[in-house]
Amino acid sequence: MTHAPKHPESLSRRDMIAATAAALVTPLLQGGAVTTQPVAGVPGKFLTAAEYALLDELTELIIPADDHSPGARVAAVAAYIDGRLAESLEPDLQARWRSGLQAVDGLSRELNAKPFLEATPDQRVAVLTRMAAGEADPKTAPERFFGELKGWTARGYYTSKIGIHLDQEYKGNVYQRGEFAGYDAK
Amino acid sequence: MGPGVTGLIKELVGKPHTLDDGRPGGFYIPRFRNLKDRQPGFIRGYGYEGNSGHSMFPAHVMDTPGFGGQFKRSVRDHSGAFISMGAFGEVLPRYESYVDLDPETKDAWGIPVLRFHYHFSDNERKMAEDMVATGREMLEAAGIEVVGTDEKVLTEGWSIHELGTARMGNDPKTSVLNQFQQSHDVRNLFVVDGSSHVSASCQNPTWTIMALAWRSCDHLADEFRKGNV
Repeated sequence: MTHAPKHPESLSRRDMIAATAAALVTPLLQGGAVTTQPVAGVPGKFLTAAEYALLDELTELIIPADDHSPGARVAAVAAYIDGRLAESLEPDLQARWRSGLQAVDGLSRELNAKPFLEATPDQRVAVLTRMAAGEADPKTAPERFFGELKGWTARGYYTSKIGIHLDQEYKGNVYQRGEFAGYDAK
Repeated sequence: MGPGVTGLIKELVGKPHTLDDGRPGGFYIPRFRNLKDRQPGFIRGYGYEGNSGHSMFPAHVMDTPGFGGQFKRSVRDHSGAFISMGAFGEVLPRYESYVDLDPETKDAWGIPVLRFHYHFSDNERKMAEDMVATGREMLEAAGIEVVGTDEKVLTEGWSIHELGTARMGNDPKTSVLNQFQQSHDVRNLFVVDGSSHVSASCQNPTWTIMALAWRSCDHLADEFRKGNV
């Protein structure tokens, strides 16, 4: 995991530690569905506060928390993507993400007559469903952005501790004792 | 070279994830074509490199369509259930394949850069078709559903094991190096990399390069003691 989602500065240090512990340590120890509040009002390293909140919500919609493991929000996927964008030496890449996020809001206005984060949960899913419809052969700007958004979300999530250990239950990088037994498919 | 197949082992979908590190999930199938059989479409052969099992990153994630809870569950259930293999075949030596110095373009030190003249022929293309068809046949015979095939032959040079252009041989008219990788034309020049290979065979060449280099060094030491070099 790279960075925890940023918290409002009004939080005391004690609250911060508690929130961080809840977001990071608990799911690792206990597993199960854990959701934290969406990030709001805090800018990322590259993205504005509004863009960052939008990205955070999109990643959670792509890889949501379920009864098996936490989702992209707890795994701080938005912070991972924002960090990569901030470190990027490619202005084209940064511009592409900025306009991609704008395209999401544009599509939401078209479908729901309001920006993505002001839409209802069902309306948000409808926007993402429209974006994902052209996944095999993307044509519009939102459709093209979907592939990149999904790819980075997957990369961020499945390389996080939560993705590797809680979701995928990866058992490697440990000493193997005894003979390899494998799984009996019969 | 690019061609290969991917299969889904249905019996493993949704099963508990196992520790596959260190397991022989990476496999190699050595060349089998044109050894005892005789293929109508091509000469020589190819081997497969493949893998299966759980890994740290679920590589099938981008081939899993959609998003949301169903997508996430599908990625999880299908982890470790895929097997894939890709083929690497021999590229025949041809006089049309060579390198020369670019008459115009120079590198940062003013040295002319190399130009590669290298194209696959019908033999490689026919072999590539067989790589896909036979890979599919193997997986299906094992009861595995083929979920993807790569039929595209990747561009020449992709395998980064390009060999030859200073082939070894006894005749200075048809070869550059002798059996000790020593130049026929330039005294005391030994070329101890993959340039001496007459053909780019389907195996990884590094050990052969090392063995030939060893042989060249022995010869060089002997000749040095005799005062011949």
